[in-house]
Amino acid sequence: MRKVRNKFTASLLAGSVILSGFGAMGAAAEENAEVTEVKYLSTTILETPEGDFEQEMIDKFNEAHPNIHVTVEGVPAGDLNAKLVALATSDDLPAFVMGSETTMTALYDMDMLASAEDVFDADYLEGFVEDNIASYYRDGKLYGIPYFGGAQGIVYRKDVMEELGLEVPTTWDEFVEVLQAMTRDTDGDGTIDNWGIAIVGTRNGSGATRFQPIIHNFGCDEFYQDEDGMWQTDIGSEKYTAALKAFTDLNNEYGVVPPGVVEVGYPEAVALLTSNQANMLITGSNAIGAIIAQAPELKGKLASMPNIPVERSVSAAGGFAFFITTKDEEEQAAAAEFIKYFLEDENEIDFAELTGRIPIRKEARANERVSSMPELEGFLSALENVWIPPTIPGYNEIEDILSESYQAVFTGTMSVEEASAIAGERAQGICDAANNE
Amino acid sequence: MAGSRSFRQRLVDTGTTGLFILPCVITLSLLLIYPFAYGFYVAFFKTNLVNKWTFVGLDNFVKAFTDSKMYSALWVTVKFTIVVVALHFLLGIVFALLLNKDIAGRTFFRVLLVLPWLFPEVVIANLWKWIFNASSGIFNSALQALGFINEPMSWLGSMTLALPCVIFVCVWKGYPLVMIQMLAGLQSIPTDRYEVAKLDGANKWQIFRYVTFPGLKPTLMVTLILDTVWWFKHVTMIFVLTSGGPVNATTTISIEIYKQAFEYSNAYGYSAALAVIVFAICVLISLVQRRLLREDDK
Repeated sequence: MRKVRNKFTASLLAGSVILSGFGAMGAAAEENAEVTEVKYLSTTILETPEGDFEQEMIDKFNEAHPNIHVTVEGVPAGDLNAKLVALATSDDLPAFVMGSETTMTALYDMDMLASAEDVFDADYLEGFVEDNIASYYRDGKLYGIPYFGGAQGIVYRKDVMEELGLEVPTTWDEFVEVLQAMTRDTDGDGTIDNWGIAIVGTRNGSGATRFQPIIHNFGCDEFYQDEDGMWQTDIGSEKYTAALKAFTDLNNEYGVVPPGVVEVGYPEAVALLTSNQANMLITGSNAIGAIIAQAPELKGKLASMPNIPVERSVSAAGGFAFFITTKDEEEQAAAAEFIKYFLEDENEIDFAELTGRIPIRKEARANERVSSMPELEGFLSALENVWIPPTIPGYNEIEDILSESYQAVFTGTMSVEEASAIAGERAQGICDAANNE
Repeated sequence: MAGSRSFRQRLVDTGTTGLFILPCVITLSLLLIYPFAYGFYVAFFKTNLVNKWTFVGLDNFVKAFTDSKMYSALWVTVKFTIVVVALHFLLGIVFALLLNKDIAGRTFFRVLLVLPWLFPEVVIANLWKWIFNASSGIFNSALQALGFINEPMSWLGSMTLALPCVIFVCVWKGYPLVMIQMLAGLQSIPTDRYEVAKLDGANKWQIFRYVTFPGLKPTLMVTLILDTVWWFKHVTMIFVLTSGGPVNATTTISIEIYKQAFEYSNAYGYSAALAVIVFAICVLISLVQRRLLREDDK
């Protein structure tokens, strides 16, 4: 009898365990069913100091929104386009993607984008600074939600400038004089160990996008449409040749650039500033965060100025945006919820203070904590005249065209005129292809 | 009846054999044949690989054969491959011969000499990139301290020095593979052949020429084909060290293919055509090398 009772009790227990197991599974399934999983690709998650901030935002968001779970996959900026094509061909794109205007062009070309106007309400979209949102339109529709802005300018060592009694230059000649004065032998061993400016001279987008503002300020437009709507280029023109000469003379003629200019990528250029080997850097405002993260002792010693005006003074609004790639409305709504959270004014301002990346929401941009940052002053004034990139097909190639031409002159492989002519031929090829499409 | 059973048995045998081969066929089809066929297919289109496919026939191939950049990249590739492979074999054979002798600390030297092969290519390329760095590289510091140079040199930024530097790094990374293969080959040569040669009064050179070299030849040829094809299409270390620069000084054909696809105008069709050409060249290289081996055997 006892045996039977034991068996009965055991069966009852087992049954209740199984039933409670099913119950728990059911509850879990119900809970999972309510959670919308959203994944996105990010390049800044791999960078310092941006990555920690971004991860903190994701964690806070997930905690505050139990019905949405955001995850991120880091991709190095240089690999982003290749990664996107691979994901798109296998129909495996995440819910949204972070990237630049060229990223958007690639996604738009592949018909992978949802219009931001279908996901975000008009009132919210009106809160963005117009210049920052302008380059994310295609055929009258908005496809990108700006994440941060990135004016082009020059970061310099304010303390060194003051120590040497130098004024902020306003013309190219003054610029060269200041750089020459900053190029010195600081330890008295007879060799120069401190140079005026670090130039990113590698043959890639990182170098090319730092040469672009120079050619723009020399009055050169890479591509523009004439009255008949035909694409034309200033590359290879006298203005381009003059810009190329002025830029490469900094190394070849005046020697105000550390040795090995064509080897210097963005990380190496930042390292030259943080190791007190260079005093200026043509860059976006994000360099401020990168420099201070590596050398906190430089906090308060950095300032910025717009790129030197020659024929004009312009700056691309630059920066990155979020692009919605999922067609699923639930995922779109969840992605929008996260993006709005990420771009709340307080978060944007904290992000700007930490990284030097410029806020793109009107109220955050106007906030005193941003406008009073001495490191951002020059970049913010550069944004008074924003240059909008052209939408010509094949625009990506311009980065290689520009970087090939300055490398050819830096290395002495070609004269300025030869390099300019070759760049002009390549740019004309892009115009011809676009005009014939 | 017996014949029928035998036929059925043969059918069963064939089916069984087929079943055993099937996993291999499926794996090869998925991993090799499909990507190759797809790459070949893409070469006939102007495409973004997703929603735009315009058939252009042989246009991509015509463009490749009329583009001076392809010939320039091929010439850099040929120089790079010949020097890298030649030095791999020179160092690989010399070190293998040394390690095959009964010298003190042989195990230690074996481990030491194999080390470059054990590190990932990206790590090695970044390591040497910083060693060669013009402003803060240890190489310039050492040369300046020793009084060989007065001011820092741009090793990877020089049109004349960049390719030799890249070759040096690739030789450093790649010779251990050849060394290991040669060492394995040397140890498979029966020792009695050496004894007979010595009894016949052969000197060291004659022993190498008539005993060691013929014994090594099968290993040598397999390694030669593998090493040549491997370095002909190499990308990683060149890309990390110089990205093909300065200008085009280290732009090999594989770097050009990558740039055409992902850095210029997303010209996937054109870069696929270049890849097909590289494939044909690699097949040709292996055929020539195999023919040479066969003729030599005769």
